[in-house]
Amino acid sequence: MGYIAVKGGKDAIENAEKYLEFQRLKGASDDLSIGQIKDQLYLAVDRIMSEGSLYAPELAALAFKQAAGDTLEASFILRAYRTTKPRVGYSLPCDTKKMKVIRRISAAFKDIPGGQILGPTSDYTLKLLDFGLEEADNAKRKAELEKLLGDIVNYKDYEDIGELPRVIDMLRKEGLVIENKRTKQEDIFDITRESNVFPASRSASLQTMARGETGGLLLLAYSNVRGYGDIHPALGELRVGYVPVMITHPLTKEPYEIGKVKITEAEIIARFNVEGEKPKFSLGYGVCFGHNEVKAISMAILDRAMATSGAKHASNDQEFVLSHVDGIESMGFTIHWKLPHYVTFLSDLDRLRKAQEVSGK
Amino acid sequence: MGTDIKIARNQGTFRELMNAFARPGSLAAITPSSEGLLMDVLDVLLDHEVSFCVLGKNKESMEPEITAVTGSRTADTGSADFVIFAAGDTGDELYKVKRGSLEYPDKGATVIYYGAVLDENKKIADHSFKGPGIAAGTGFTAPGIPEGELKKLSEINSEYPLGVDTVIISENNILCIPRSSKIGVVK
Amino acid sequence: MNSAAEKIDGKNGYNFAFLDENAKKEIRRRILKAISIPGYQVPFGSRELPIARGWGTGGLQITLSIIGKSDILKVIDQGCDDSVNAVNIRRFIKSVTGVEMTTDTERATLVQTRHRIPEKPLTKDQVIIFQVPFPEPLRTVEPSEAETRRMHAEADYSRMWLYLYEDIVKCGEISIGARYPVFVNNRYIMDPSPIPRWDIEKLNNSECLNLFCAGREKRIYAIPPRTSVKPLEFEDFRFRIEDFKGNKCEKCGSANSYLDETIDEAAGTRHYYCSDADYCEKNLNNAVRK
Repeated sequence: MGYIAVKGGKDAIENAEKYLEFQRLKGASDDLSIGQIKDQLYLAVDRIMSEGSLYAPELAALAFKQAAGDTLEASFILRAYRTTKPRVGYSLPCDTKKMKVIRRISAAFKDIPGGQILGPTSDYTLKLLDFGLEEADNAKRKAELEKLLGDIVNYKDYEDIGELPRVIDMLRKEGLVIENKRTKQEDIFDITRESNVFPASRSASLQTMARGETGGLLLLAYSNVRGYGDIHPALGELRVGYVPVMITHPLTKEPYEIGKVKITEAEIIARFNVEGEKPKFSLGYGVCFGHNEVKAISMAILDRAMATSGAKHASNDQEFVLSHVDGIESMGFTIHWKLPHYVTFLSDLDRLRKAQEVSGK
Repeated sequence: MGTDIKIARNQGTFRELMNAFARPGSLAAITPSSEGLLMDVLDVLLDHEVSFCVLGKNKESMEPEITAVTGSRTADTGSADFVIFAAGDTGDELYKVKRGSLEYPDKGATVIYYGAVLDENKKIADHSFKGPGIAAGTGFTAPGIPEGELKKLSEINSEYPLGVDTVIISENNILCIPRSSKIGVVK
Repeated sequence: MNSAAEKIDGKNGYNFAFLDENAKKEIRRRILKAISIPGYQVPFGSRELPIARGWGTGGLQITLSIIGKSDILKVIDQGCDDSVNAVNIRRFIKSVTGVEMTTDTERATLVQTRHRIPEKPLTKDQVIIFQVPFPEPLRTVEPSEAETRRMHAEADYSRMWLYLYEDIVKCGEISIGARYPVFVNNRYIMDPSPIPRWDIEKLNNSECLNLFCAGREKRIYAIPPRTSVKPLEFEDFRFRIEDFKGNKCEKCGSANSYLDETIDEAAGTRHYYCSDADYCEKNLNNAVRK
């Protein structure tokens, strides 16, 4: 009965911990610095902040290092840290129009006011192994950077290019869009303080997806657009950039910026038919911490999919989607089957033996 | 009061409350802090996530004080999560207190009577008690709470699981009447 | 490497019992509602803990919200204090509270458990906290939470009864092993957590307070002491506990405890031992003294 030895459970656990730590340390390579992870593996850091539901790049990088690159485990570590922090206050609603955009595209229109801004994207890079990166070479890295910067001296994460109008607003002006009901600020559900109830409010739904696991959201969204659903989305707008977080200043009572967070925002448009009415467009919205376009677009598709009445497929069913997209919950429960279940197993065995006895008579 | 002491006090007060809810009719003796037992209990239960209201006398002075200590916000009788009365006749106000819905009966409010008299030594109980947590023959006396008040509570809790849960607070005792308890009068 | 205890005692300064005071407040409020409406599942804003969802985070949140310095805690998994998961939970609670731990059922003021209730009846001075994977007993017949909530609201349990009836038709007996649904205070059908049927009777009119919590599913519920708890059954098809067919514990000789069955492959024999480790040890010690 190996791992349920009557005595010695404590030693076994501690030794297992040491063995695990050894796996991370045993290689001959240099120790990873948090800075390296934050700077060079930034998309993993973004993903962990988003799924861990805490905007803290250094801590996310630390979690990633500690979890040896397992993003689920790292998000979990970050989420567990988040839960110990008391809530000191609420920000004002974030206006994403104020985003300092580094990337902004629309697939629905060729020309959009403010223009298409490709920004930092891997969309058009060829997926070929770059053997030039094989050797860790600080001098070469520095030289490459200087070459890229050219005569730019004061590099910033973003340039202030002013507020960009929303693509969706162009459709709004034409009266082609069915608006989502706006939630009053005091009615916003807080999924970290209350358990989701069904049907869930849209605020609860968006919050749940915003901290959802990228792969889980992707799978459900993909199932819908592939055929187990009826959303034919057009990407109205996708934005990546830095959005200011404002609070009410405790003394002056004026709005006050406490910092900026990098987010990805997606708005999708899909046709919506109401019987006896002219067809209109309706919107799906996705947003998450960091640069994670797969997640934001998947979330937007699901937001729209769940608005479909008479849900036929998993991705239309709000309770189904929201109950299964959290990576930390689904991972925890899926791996809990490793725990001993022999009391319950024996209880089931007793019923099975009895049933056989009965049918044997 | 230091944070550690306060954390320990709140934990201790909560355990007494929990036991009192688990065993309706039994008195839990608690040594109050300098704030008094009502504030000690409120400090365990209230924060900015829930709302409360004070009814009857001292409303104007008590509400800001409770908000200052707990961070909880005030609401009207019909929507408050915690409704605080001075022990005595509450008139028709008690009928307005929210009782929850069949889907979510836990949304029913908690009613707190303060300034009651709870007498542990009085041998003959005025009120009989039946329901979960109650040993056969348990009763209680709360001379400060008028007869009509307990009748009102019974009426409000007659559509179980809808209802309210009640805490009666004296100087150094608490007694709880969850909605699952059936109160009778001992003649 | 930092051990869990070092991480917690270190500069980060976690609160006593890990959860912040507001989290405890919320959980405490929900516990009181759960006690007031026996068997009803109170939703709560379950917090993440440094232990995975599904590994006892519900039970843990209850324990951490109610525990104080003077408590003595016992943690068991499958009836055993030394099962790795029990050890891990105990180690975590110890590091964030410093409270005394025990394996002695009688000494404990709080018992946190997964899958068992100690054989020795718990007293009025004890609280037992169950780790719950599936709080919804009706999930077997209905996947939607909105619908099961309606069924509880209306006490519409016809589909559950139908399920049991069909089970009898198919298997000749009610074939539910552990997690046997119970009626609490004649109002709510409740999932008693995956305890064996053997333990169900201990919930009925118990002296102790029974608290249940599912962290992942975010539900708290309770059975107060002296509360009626009845397993679902039909007059002609009774609820039955596990049948050990006269086998006794091979260590202490008890014929009155839930047994673990082990298989000796080499010899082709089966062996039986008490699942409740403390109960077995006490029996053994008593036998030696006599």
